[in-house]
Amino acid sequence: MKIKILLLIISLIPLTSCFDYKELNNRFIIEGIGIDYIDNEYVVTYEIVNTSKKEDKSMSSITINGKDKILSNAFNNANIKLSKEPTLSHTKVLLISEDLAKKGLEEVLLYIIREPSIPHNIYPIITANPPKDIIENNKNTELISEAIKNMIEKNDHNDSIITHESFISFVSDVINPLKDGYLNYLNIEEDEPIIKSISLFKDDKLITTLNKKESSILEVLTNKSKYYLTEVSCTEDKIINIGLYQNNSTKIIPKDNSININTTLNATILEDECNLDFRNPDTINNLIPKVEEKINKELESIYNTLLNYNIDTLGIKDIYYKKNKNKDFNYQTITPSFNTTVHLKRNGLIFEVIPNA
Amino acid sequence: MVIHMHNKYVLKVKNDYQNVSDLITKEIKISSFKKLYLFYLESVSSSSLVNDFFLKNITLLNALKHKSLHKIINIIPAPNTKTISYEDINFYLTNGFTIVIYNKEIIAFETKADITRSIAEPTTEQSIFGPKDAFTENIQINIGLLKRRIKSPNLKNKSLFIGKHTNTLVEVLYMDNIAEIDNVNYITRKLSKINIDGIIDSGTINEYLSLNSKTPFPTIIKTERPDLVSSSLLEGKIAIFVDTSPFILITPAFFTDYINPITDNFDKYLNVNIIKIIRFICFFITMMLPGIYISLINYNPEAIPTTLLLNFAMQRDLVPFPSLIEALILLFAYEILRESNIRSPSPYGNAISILGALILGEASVEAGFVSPIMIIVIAITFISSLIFTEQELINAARYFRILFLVGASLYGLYGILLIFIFFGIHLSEIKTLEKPYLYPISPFNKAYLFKTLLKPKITNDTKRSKMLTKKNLTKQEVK
Repeated sequence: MKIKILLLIISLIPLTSCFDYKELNNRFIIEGIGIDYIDNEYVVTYEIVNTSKKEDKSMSSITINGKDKILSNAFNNANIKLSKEPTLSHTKVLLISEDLAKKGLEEVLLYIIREPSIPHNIYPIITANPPKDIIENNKNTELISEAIKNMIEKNDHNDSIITHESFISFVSDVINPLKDGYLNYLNIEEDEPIIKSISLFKDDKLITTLNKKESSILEVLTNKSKYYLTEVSCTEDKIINIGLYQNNSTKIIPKDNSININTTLNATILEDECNLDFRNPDTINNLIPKVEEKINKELESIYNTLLNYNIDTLGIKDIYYKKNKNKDFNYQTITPSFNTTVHLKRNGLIFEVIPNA
Repeated sequence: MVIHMHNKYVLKVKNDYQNVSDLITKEIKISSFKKLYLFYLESVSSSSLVNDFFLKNITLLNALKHKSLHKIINIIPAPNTKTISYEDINFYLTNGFTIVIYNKEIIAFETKADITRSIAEPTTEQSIFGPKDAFTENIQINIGLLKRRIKSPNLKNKSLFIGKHTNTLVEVLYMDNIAEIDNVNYITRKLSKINIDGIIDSGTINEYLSLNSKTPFPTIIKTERPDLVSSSLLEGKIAIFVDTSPFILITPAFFTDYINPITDNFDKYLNVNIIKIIRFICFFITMMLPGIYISLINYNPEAIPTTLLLNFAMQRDLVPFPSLIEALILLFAYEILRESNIRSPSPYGNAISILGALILGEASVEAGFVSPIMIIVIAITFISSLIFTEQELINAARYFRILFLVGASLYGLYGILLIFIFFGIHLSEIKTLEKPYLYPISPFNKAYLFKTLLKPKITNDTKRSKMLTKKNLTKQEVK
């Protein structure tokens, strides 16, 4: 019996996973990765959290980068500069330069899919500035990766951010021949990172970047909008500003030669420069069709933009394939019909200022 | 010739008790040729009782002239009077009896001194609303405390005297109409096989009864609460009382019994069930938490939320030891603290607690010896263990805690899983009174599960467990 136990213990030793054992203070926790393409070379930049004990307990970062013509070598060149084991499992964002995205992301996507330590729920973001500069020149008290991640996940009032476009959902759009992907687009304005537009892709290549207004309308079409602003004018210089909330309400219904895009939005009047009398039901009854018409026009405009670039971000080909099982369907020939329904919340609209009260 | 016979008994007693200073011997002359001898041990007998029962009634001795000692046995006003043989003298003498030798006859009457402490409050199993009486070192008082609660002729006991020198009285108590007699016989058979110099307290009996179970887990309940013994007997369990021990043994004891103290009976079932679930979780926390922490930070940091991981990393910065060594140091330090706190008198205990808290909590972190998070992990581990009153259970959890720690440091979460499987197999193997220790979880028994893991509504507690009794299952009839 004793020999059996001894043999069991000895046999356990070569089976142990000690090779995988790494103390926490021997790890570098990487929160953000930046990938750039400069002078025919990939530049990989890590944003590493500095976990050294500090008096003020503030969080700072260390930046390391590696270069090579081959992406995996660029990652490797960054890794060998580190004095501790890189831990990529807590990476939050993947910053990709606009230039690289225009060249094509196939290599980047394949590398990250094959690298088991990088989580697949990271947020890939296209950057106007080189990612290396964004990470290295961060003047924020927060880590840039943490700030971007929080911006995407927690700021419900930014109407231009795609909230759930993670790496894996982008990859699924890229490899799907019946749909095209899109990603958040990051700018640096007055040293502050800001996301206010969306980049559109055809396969793995960036085709164009929408402006802020177009981005927020695209989100209504893709059912990802949380908050969206529009205005209708009552006179030449006066407007009514309206906030719109969507709750997964856009439905794309395929017909034989046309497509119906139905949307329901809840609206709130934010500003009324025209001093309308909202106590009068006719005012609201007249206003709602105007708002609906405005939104329909905006939706049609972004739809046409997509058609012009031959980008199927809405996955219309996919929708028709599911209906007709026809992969060669030309979605550009069909006629879209936009039907928006707006429910106006009347809270706060019936206040009346009583003169000389 | 007669005188010669008397001297033989008396001389033998005197010879046996040579150098025993508390032996009191009295010679009472009955006639010119006849003497009566009276012996008692001053330490265990009451001199005043000897006076009251015998010496004050010395006129009785007149009845002895030309007659037998049996004639006066019924006249002595002692509550317990017996005719005994020479071989029994030692037993009765050491048990507080007074021995009278006359001619060839020997009688013993009870003059036991009251050398026991009064009934005190339980110290190891306290309850806010439960009864405040606890067992003492006197077996008769202990049985009395039980009989105050169970006033039934069905409460039977089998007596044994164990220990060549101590002759300790051991009583096996059971409810005749509930408990399985096979179980009672099994215990008495095991107890009667004990051939040892002395039984000092119930711990020795506990060891003998648990000889076959090679496990750190307790398989017999030790309690000083008469209410727990009473309710256990009514469930069909068996209680073993040992003279000179305030701790009564209850068998069989299942794993779930230790998670649920009797004090739960005094609270509402809805409130108690939350506590019971917390207690069950605490058992796993105290056993597994250090192991899980080690495996997560060293093998699976991706499973920890980033902000928490960064805090851990910042706290562990500059700690020179691997986390396993750090955990072992703290576990060792806390074990020393616990042990010193239990053994030392209470005024020192407070000082030790403060010293320990200061050194471990503040100074060791300041010195960069350990990380604050490890102190939190070990503190939660120990606080969770304090929920249980049974020391053996805490010790068993400690045994498995080390196994989990080693498993985690070698294999990470996979190691935790391996040790957990081993833990499950080990618990399934244990037998208590030839019954599975994991009962009522495995084999599953709904009636007993709801009485142990959870507390049922009193009107739903109608049946006894089939594992404990087969002849009397109905506990109450709800009208």
